[in-house]
Amino acid sequence: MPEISVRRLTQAFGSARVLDQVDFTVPDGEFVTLLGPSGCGKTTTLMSIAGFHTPDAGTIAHGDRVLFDAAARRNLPAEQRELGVVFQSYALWPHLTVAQNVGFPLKIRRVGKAEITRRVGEVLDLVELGHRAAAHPHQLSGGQQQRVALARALAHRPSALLLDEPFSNLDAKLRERAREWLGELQRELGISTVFVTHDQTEALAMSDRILVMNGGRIVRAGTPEEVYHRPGSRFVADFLGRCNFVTGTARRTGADTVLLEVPGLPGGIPCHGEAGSAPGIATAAIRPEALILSEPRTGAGGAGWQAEVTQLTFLGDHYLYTLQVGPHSLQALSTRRVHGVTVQVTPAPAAASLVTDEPVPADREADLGRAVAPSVLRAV
Amino acid sequence: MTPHPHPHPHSHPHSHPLAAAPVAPRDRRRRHLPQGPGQYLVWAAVAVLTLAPLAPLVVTSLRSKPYYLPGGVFSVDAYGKLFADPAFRQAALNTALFALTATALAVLLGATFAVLVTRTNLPGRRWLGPALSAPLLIPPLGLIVGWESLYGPAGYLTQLWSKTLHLPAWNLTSLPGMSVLGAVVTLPIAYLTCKAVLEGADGTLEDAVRASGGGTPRVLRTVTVPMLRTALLDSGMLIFTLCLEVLGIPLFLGRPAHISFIASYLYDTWSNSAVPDPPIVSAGAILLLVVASAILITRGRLLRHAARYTAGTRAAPPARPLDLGRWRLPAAAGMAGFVALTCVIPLLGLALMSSVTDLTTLVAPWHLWTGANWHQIWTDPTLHRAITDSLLVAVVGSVATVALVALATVVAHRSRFRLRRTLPALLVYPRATPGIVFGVGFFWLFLIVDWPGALLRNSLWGELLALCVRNMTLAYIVLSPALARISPELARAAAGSGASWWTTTRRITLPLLRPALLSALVLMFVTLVSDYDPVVFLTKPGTELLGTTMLQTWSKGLPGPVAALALVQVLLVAGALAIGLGWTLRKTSAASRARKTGKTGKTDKMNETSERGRHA
Ligand SMILES: Nc1ncnc2c1ncn2[C@@H]1O[C@H](COP(=O)(O)OP(=O)(O)OP(=O)(O)O)[C@@H](O)[C@H]1O
Ligand SMILES: [Mg+2]
Repeated sequence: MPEISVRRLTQAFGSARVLDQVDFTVPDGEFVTLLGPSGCGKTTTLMSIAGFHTPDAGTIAHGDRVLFDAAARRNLPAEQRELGVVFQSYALWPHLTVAQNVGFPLKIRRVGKAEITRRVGEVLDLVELGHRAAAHPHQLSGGQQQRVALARALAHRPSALLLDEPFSNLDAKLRERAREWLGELQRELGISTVFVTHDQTEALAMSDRILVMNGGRIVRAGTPEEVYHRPGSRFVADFLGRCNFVTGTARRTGADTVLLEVPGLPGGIPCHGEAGSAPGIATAAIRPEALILSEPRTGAGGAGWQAEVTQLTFLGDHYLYTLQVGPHSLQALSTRRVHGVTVQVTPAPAAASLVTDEPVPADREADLGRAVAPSVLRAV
Repeated sequence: MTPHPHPHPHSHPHSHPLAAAPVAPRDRRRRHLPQGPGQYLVWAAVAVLTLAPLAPLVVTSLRSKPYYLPGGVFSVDAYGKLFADPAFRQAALNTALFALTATALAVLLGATFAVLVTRTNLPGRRWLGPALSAPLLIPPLGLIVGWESLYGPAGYLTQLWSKTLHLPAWNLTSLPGMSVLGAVVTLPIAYLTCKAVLEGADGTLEDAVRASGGGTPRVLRTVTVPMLRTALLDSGMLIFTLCLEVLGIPLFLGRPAHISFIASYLYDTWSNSAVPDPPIVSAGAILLLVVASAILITRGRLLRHAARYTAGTRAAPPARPLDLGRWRLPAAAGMAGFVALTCVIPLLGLALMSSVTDLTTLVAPWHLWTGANWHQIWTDPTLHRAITDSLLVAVVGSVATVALVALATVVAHRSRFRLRRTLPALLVYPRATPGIVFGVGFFWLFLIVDWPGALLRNSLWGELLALCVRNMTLAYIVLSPALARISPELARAAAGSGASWWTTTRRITLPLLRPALLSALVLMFVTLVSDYDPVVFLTKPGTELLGTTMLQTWSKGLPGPVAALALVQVLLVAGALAIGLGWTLRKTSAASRARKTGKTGKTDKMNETSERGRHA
């Protein structure tokens, strides 16, 4: 299986640890995204796989081919790694035409002229740019350049594709289209892909699997749903979108369910919590859209809490409420406009999950991720 | 895995037809040539060429007799003799006085001109600016001969001034006179350095002074001039070093007044010594090298932290240029007059002198019209050969040097070659070293190292080698900033496509450098036509170049043919510049035309959005 496996990659610049035991696997044909804030080491990881960066320790293998092994002092040069790389700046060669750019990897491999012409046409049609073959890069728009870069990366049929923030130079509208289009193309070709971005919507929309990085470590790995709903740590929950954090006392109620008792929130919050986590003081993360709003009910009883609306923001496709429930300030998203100052808030079942304040160390998290993944996949 | 050795069993049912079967069985067919040996070769060529002439210099300076004579022992006699010679001490004093005066003048004028051109509303500053840097490209000997023929003691304008107008005349063949010429030749360095600092600085600082109520003098005093402090120090030290090695000025202008500089002292000692090739010359060259290196190292130390003060975060000119008021026209006239008097008129004087029998105020020049000088340089085999040989050296030398330096620059800045960090220093130091040091060094190298020294010793190729090595730096300082502007991702993209380092260099990096390669070629050609001091110790009958022939013909007292040769030099330089400029203009206009016919970015993006909409 030509899967890419990255093991315990470590790199330090001076005293700064840029990569810290980075460890992950890209299964054959999957779309894996490295997601994280600026400077967390995404590009460094990707360029290590591509061969433009030499880490201090660790190994990188592609199928049974060892690309890099610090201990064995093996470091296959970039040009022999047979990968397709798309750079953030696209790096199209300005002195060559679109067709020459795309044909370059084939020319290097001494492919015959006729075959190059055929293949270049084929790949350019794939990225819907067959009619611009004779143009020079500066005559293309940003989106077209990005597709030429992709065509060039695909021309020699690489066994994996590496993309470093390929959409960051596109405007919002074009980016959305490009995202759909790349996802479709990747599934069609079935090519293993490592994608780097700092945009969480992009990552959630495109990936089979997301690796969240922070400070040179992978702090969470899993499918988009897993990572979004079970962030595991405050940092990941926060990075992937708006989130409420509530602290209370956890009481185990089932194999992987916990009830978080919070003063001021009668009835507590039912949470997802892994078997290992110890009872006691804990923090739960609950997404704003998991808080269901309704008209206030007169009389006591029923689930939920009485809340006061302190702020209401219109966001186009929904409303963002800032609510005051006793001592707690919570955010809720709703497509409905609820009138009145007081509303009834009910947490959706199994929507909250316990998080730690500190990201779980990379190696433990990786183990956890691997252990958890199959069961979740079965469930989904 | 070897990529797709077989179409791998796909787990994806809708696998795209394009994904199957590799394009070519890559790893087996394509052999990756190791990049190391070639890179070592480039590095070794640069290192040997630049360092080899220094070793024999040290060795021969430490011998009691010329290297090839029997009975020599190691001793420091040569250094002792050098310091004991009153002529040398006088020459050293002269050189120091000359260098100090010339540097002060050049820095003062250069900085003033830079402020005038970049910061004020001086009329015509767009033409005057480039004209100020012209002395960098005018062959130095041509300028000296032109000055001598007009401003020398018997010069045309001197005669006109003193005999006809009965005004007190100046004396060009004195230390102050030579210093003025030295300042004119080196002024462009100060001007360009200051101009670069002013253009890279944040002009809003000056606006801020104005906004708080300061007038023009206060703006200059509080912001503009302090901003130039490092630039003045930097260019001043560079100019001082260059002045130490000046050879042409004392040889042409100092001779009649018996004023000698270190370089001309060494040259005269070499030419007139009873024992050929005395060790004292090596010792003097070493001394010059040590002093020049010490100054340049100090300069590097002093300026190490300077970037902090000069690097403007926002490079923008002030919102409004400083108003010169009623000084506008006088300042412009002064600057135009300076350019005319120092460059334009001397070149015209050169042309005049090459076409008359005698340049004198007693008879009008058109009565003395003659083609004899031109006839002589055409028929005299030595003079004629000087032209053809110089042309040959300039053409072959510029192509070879640019080729080697281009490769070395790419190795230095775009490879993982182990010794790459040593290359910039190796490429920069030859030009910082006095030319005659290289000359003496190569002379001994060819003598001591029998192969290939014996082949190069008495041939044009030895001179070519010395000239090219000495001026490699110029190609490097053109190519390395150009390379720095090319994104390293372009080369990485080629490696990612499977291209080896050499293929990437040949197909991507060097083609992208093409405009800079052309500039380097022109600059090298211009320099090789004009430069002479590295070869004065190498030239032999039959291998004269333009510069050395002019020196010899001048010392025979024949200014006419020298002026004609100098004019040939000027014309060759002008021709090369015109060709280079024409080519660049044609390229850029073609590129801009292509850009215009291609769709502009904005409409293209809109087209694309609609086009993608159709596909979706
Ligand atoms: N050559 C270097 N020397 C020192 N530090 C470096 C070097 N290259 C990268 N770094 C540091 O490594 C860290 C990770 O850099 P990297 O480029 O991988 O970040 P990134 O996650 O891709 O960020 P971005 O989203 O901004 O592109 C950064 O903190 C950066 O400062
Ligand atoms: Mg990055």
